[in-house]
Amino acid sequence: MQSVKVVVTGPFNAGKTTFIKSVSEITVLSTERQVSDVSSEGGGETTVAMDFGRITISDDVVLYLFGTPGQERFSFMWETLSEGMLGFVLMVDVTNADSMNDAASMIQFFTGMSDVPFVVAANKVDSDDRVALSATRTALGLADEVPLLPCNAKDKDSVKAVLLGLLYRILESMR
Amino acid sequence: MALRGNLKDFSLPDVFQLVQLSGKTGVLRIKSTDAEGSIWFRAGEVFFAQSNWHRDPLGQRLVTTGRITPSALLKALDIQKHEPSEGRRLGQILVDEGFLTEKVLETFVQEQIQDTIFDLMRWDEGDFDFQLLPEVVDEDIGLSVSIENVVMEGSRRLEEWNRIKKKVPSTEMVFKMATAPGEGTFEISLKPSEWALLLLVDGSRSIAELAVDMNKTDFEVARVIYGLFSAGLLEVPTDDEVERLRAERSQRDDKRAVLDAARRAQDEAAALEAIELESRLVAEAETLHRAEQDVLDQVRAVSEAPAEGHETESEAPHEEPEFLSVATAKPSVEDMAVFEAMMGAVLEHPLPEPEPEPEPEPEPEPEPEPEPEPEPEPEPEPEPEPEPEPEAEPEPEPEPEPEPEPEPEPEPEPEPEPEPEPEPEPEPEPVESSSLLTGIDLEEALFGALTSAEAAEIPAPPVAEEVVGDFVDAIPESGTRPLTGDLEADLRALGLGEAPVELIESVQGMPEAVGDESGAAHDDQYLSLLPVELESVDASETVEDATEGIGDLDELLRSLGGGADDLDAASAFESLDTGEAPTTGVISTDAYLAEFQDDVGLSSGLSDEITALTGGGVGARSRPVATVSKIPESGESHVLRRDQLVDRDLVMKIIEGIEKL
Repeated sequence: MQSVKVVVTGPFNAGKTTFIKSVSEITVLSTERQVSDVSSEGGGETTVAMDFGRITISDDVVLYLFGTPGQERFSFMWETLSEGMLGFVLMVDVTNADSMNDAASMIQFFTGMSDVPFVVAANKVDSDDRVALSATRTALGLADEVPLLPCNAKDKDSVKAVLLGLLYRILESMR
Repeated sequence: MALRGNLKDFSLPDVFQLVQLSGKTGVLRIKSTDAEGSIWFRAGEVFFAQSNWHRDPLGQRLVTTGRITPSALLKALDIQKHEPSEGRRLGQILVDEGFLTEKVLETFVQEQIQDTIFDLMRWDEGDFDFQLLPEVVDEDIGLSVSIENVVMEGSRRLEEWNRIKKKVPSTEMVFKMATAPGEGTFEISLKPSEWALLLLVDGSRSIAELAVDMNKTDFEVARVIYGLFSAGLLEVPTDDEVERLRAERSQRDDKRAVLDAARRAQDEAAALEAIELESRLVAEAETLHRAEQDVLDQVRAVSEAPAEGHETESEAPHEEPEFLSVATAKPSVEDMAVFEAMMGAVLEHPLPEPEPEPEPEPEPEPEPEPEPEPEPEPEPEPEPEPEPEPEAEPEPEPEPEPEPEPEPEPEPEPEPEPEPEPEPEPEPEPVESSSLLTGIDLEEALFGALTSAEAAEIPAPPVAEEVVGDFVDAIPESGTRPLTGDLEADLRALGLGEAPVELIESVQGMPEAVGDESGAAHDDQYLSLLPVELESVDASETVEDATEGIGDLDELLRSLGGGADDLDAASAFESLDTGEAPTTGVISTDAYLAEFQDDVGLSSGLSDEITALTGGGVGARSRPVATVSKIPESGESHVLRRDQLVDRDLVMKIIEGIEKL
């Protein structure tokens, strides 16, 4: 059985866990805990370890999805989680302007650490909202060749489209 | 009443003195046959000066020299526009808005005024005309400079200029790199600004052109050229040569322009292609989304009839996307093996903070339920508001759903038993990443600890063969020396950054300072911090501390029987005080610039601030030795690589698999 790995990363609250849950055929394994009040990073629960999902491609190939924790204080895990990845998806919540800087730093971190292809999934944006997409590209300082794909992390097909976008990028990089 | 005259009758300092004593406000305009300049006074003090050399408004100059960003200037100007007529000056706004510190602004203004007035003071003839003005606001940023200081500084520079003129009589002179910069030389030791200039000296640019290219004054450039020329690193080309080199440069420029245009076109094409791909994917996503909506509508229509009596209960499942309402499979043993292997690798790294406690174990909670169902996934929906998406997963929406909040770990944590078969998943390397990630040891984080084997691979500076034996003992034992703690110094050690004032001061005292132990120790550190892959252009294998044993220049000068200024290029080498070691040399401009005062120029104005920011010391420091290094190839710094077992066929297979999902 051959397994391949794709990492899903992005700032806090970008929708990474949802993204993985949308396509994983197994119950996504997440280790989560409550964010303490002092963090003031937002309400609710945040992933502090990782999310883990699976997509069986065929009898002998399985694709694993690993979600990284979003907060920078857990950045020590990013490299470990990224070892051997085929590529990565950077999720960004376009409605949260404050997270853009974090997202840009994460892109820098991951591209500095690895030469694998990546795509940016713009969560919570309508696919025809060109203005929001363009603003996101500018805010992230994305090069033109990096695909910026609108995405609804709750929507399986949208997530599939993002994964396909990444896979085509990977294919291109193998030329 | 206007004050008029000629510079032949009244020197500029005389006019300055008159204006200062009378405490006048106005503008002094000076015109010569081909140039003009003006100096603005407020109550006898100078607050702005301008000459042909620099005509930009002050705000623009701050942008040009990188002190502020263009957007900062625009913002400040915008704020100024909305200020009342007696509102804050531009400089004050820039400081208040945090774009600039007051100290930097002050220094900058002072330097600009000094540079310009010095420029004007060099004019031998011209007419001046002082006009009283009630108020001059355009260029007034609220700072002024005492005319006494400016005149004194100008006079000092004039003296230096006269000295420089002996070797560099005109700013129209062209220089080229010397073909043989001296025999017996094993090292060229220059300040960063000198290197920067040396790179531009190509036998086709005049000093004036170089000054424009470097955004410096012709005085600053001429001063550096003087040092380099005196040290034998530059020579004057013949007119034919200049002509030929200019033609070559113009050809190169044309070729570069063509290449740039081609690259731009290529980039544009690639961008268009990416946009097309993006649009295709967007369209595809849209189509699929619509199709799914149709299916959902149909499903809803079918299921609505029997569910009439149970509206509230059936609502959630109906609105839930189909794929989420279907119970997902339990992770298999293989999945768990991969998960645990990864979790184990992650947990080998201690958390940076004690507070986060992100589960010390992958599954620390041996769940009360022995075999958790995969069901808990679709949460029990405690939410009163029936949002259109009652999705099961804890999607951390910013505001509307603060999360169903099931329990801290409602996830169907699978059995925690260790997996027998560890799965050939790409395993992380805990040792490597932990050293990078703990973030405690700055040196290790930035450069990594060098092993003794790695230290031995550090390329040597080009060293004359015969001194090898004498310096073998100086080879550092290991590469794990700490950083100096001074970011600026460390950057310079790697050939980056500007030379600060302290450095220049220490360089001026070079004959004594170079040989001392602290200087040697510094260079030793720099050597140890060089990346292992760096390669000296010289193939010499010897590792040696370049400054070790550099001796007193005075001794050498005495032995040669001449003053520093009279030395020719070959005799400008600093001797090595190595006892019986043979004398070899270092090319540097120190001997020629030692008599000049502080370096001038914009960069020096920031040194205090940089020192404060970087925690650099104020004591004398050894000069950095720039080493020619190999440029790292692209991608060399990446520590992680793609899984090499995956080929195109496999990716194609995965694509097909995902499409079928």
